Amino acid sequence: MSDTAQFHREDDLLAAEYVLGLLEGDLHADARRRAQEDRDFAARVAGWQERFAALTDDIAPVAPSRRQKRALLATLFPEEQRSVLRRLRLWRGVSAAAMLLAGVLGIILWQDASRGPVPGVTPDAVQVATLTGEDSDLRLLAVADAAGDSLSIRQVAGGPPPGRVLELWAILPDQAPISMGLLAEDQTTVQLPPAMAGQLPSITFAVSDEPPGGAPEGQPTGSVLASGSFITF
Amino acid sequence: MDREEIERLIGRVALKDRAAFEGLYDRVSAKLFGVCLRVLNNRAAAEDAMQDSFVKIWNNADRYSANGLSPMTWLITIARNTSIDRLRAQRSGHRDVNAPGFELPAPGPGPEESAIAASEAAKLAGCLDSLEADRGAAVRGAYLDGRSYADLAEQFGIPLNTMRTWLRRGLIALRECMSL
Repeated sequence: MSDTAQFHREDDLLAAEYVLGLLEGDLHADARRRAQEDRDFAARVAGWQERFAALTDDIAPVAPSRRQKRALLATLFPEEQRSVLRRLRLWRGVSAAAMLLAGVLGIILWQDASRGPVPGVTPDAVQVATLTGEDSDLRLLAVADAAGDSLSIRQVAGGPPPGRVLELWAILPDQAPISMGLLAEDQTTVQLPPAMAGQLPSITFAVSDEPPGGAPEGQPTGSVLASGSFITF
Repeated sequence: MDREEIERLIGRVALKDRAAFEGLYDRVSAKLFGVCLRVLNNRAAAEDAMQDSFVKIWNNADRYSANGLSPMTWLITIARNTSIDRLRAQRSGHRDVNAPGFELPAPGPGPEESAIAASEAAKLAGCLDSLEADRGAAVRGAYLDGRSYADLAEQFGIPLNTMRTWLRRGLIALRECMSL
């Protein structure tokens, strides 16, 4: 064998050992550097990577859990704003049960209101929303006043995870969520900002769990536990 | 697995296309998770390794096209190397930050060489089988179980230097067999 052939063979073996992970210390560091800088050596490394990858041909695929994909996406794309909107889109199909609940409550409120009209309140303008989520048992009922700029929100079932608080968000189509403040344990009254007053039907409301004190950057950081929109009776 | 489709997705991931990344994940995660599980033999560790692998894929997809590997080899190599690094960190009880890992495939030669290698790769199994059984097992042990020369020497009950000579002879035979 010529010196050159001998040299190439030695390089080829080093490349194979490098790909297998058998080199240590200086030999490893040297091979790693050459794989970056030396075109011929890099080609040998790639060749062995291609060959040895065939050792995985027999390995059967195993589907990872859906939780894993969510965790990965949350790690890579921590800006929650978009994903809140995405998740809301998934949830826009409010469950039939929630609609029914809203309907029943709406009728009760409407009857309530029609029994003795309060001055300035028109009984035919009751706006109600139920906020629910697929992955949590949190349920909230929200009722708007006649003018549609003040909301009363009551927790019907569930609550925040331990050590977390609930924060309410209002989301107009194609806009970032706007915090409506933290929710009290039982009932909370929320005043809509003037820019939103009168737009109630087009607002999606969402509740996320946040650290005590609320989302630090003014955008949701936790999971969206419940969402929903107002309907008018 | 459709090579062109995977290649196209990696190309779009290189442009930071999230939808393409999710599409790539949906297509290849089961294979990569299988590889991580095979190396680490522990679900939680394999989940971590696969997570790290996909973070690397997202961050380094722009380096793929330069590297001439088939797309699945590139992805599998990332998953395998990440898993081996983790396995070794587990064994040594810590992650030695000074030890250079080999988590990413090296930049390679361009498509021509890899086409040759791919045709050779198809022969690997047959060629491994034609090696003496122990040598084939040693190659598999290094690639899939992260065994070092010292581990292998102990496993086969021979001195370290002999082990290296012996495995290198196996690699030469392997190379010759696959080039035929």
